Amino acid sequence: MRKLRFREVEGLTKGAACVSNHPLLPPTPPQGGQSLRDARVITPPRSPRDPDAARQPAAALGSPRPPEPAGRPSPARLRGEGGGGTAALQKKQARAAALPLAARFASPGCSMEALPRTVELFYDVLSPYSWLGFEILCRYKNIWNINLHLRPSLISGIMKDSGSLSAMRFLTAVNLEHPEVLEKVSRELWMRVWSRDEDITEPQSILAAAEKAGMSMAQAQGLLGKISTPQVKNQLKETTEAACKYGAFGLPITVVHLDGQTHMLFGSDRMELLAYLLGEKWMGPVPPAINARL
Amino acid sequence: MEALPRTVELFYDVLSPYSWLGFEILCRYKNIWNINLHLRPSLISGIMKDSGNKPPALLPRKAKYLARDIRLLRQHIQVPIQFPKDFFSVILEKGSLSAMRFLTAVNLEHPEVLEKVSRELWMRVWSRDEDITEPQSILAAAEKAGMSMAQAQGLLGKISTPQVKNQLKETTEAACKYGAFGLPITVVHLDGQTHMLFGSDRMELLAYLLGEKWMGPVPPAINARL
Repeated sequence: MRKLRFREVEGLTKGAACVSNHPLLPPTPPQGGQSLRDARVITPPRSPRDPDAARQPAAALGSPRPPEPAGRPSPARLRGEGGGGTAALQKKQARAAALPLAARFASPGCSMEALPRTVELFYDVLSPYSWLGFEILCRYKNIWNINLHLRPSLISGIMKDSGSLSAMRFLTAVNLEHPEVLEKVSRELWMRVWSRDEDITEPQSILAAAEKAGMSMAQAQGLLGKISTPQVKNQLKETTEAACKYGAFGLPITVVHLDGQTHMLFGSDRMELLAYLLGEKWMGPVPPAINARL
Repeated sequence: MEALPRTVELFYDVLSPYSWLGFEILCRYKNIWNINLHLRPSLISGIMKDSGNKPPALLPRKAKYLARDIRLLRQHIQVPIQFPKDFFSVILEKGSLSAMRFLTAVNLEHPEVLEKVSRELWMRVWSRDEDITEPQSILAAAEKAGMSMAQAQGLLGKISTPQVKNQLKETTEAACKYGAFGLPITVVHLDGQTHMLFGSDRMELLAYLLGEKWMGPVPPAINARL
């Protein structure tokens, strides 16, 4: 079954249906200039009892990685099919297949290979909403066509607040030397402060989080030893300043770069709007696990 | 067996842009979800005073963010919302006291048109950058909502009566008792529990609490219950 990009579906149903309840001005056509009359795609039937909407069981934190070859997860799951071919080729094909007929041939610049969009998340482990936004984006980073860049920042640099200085410096160091574990170490720090009410200021606390995230004691201690170096201090300062330049007055902020435009979204409750801007499908804060689609 | 509809209250002020967004979303869903939607005209200035909070736009970066956020949400939520040119004058100086008293009076005597009149007031101040403080402005909104001039003038004459003034005060106090520090707030009563949700961006969470399906801010009307 062809998967429609959510924006196209929304564009189809909006004009026809949404104003029938009340006399608001007619909606503007969906972005991209595709008018309702031009679309030749059939809206998939939606039922209020859509089984997809059934509440998902509590998701394990972090996006579950399916056992598969290196590279982006197979987009075969996007179509609910199995299949051969490289992961990258499948993803390209899935993306092309997901475009409605009209757009595939009519819109200029529509290529078979859409580049992933850059999404930056600026966060501080002291910020609970940062954790919520983080988990949602981690779930979607292998579903949407995006590259998620995590940006450890200092909320006290944005507001005048109490500190998570050592923890965020540690994450900055992790990002500099072992970015592949940044997500896990960040999560473990949140688990300490915002799940188990444990300290994150003492060296032992930070080491414990790093270890739980899979770092060796040697690795973790090495990084801990660097948190007061000019390099790490400056990097954290720069990242925090970058957030401020984007207009941040708090955290989390999500910055998405799209067709030459930049949008800054504040809060963990703007992810559906992010999906809208990306033209991606929003499936709630706990999207169906990848394995479920195979 | 048909389950009883759940009560959902929306406390709002036409001065508040996010109130309008939350209002439109709930109006779309009130015939889809198994709920009774109760509109509660309130005074945001009263809530700010009572809670010690400040309008977010007073912080320069928040003001900048607000303008951009509203522009994006206009598209996403499909509401023709637009910043008034002299935003600070509209929000901080002119306010919404008469308008909200008028809506309070409407709610007391003609609740069946409360939704429409509220909408027309938002269309004035938050779409066409028109006044909502003068009697003529309020009457124009009421007329556009389908009220007769006689009806509208009758209600306008009552906005300074103790009954109307007290009702608006009580509704605003009720919002404060629910814990409001701003508007809009949505209060849902469920199985003996009460949940207060702040903001227009908590509707998906509301759906979750109600066990209803969230279909985005612009649900297809084909799923409307008859």
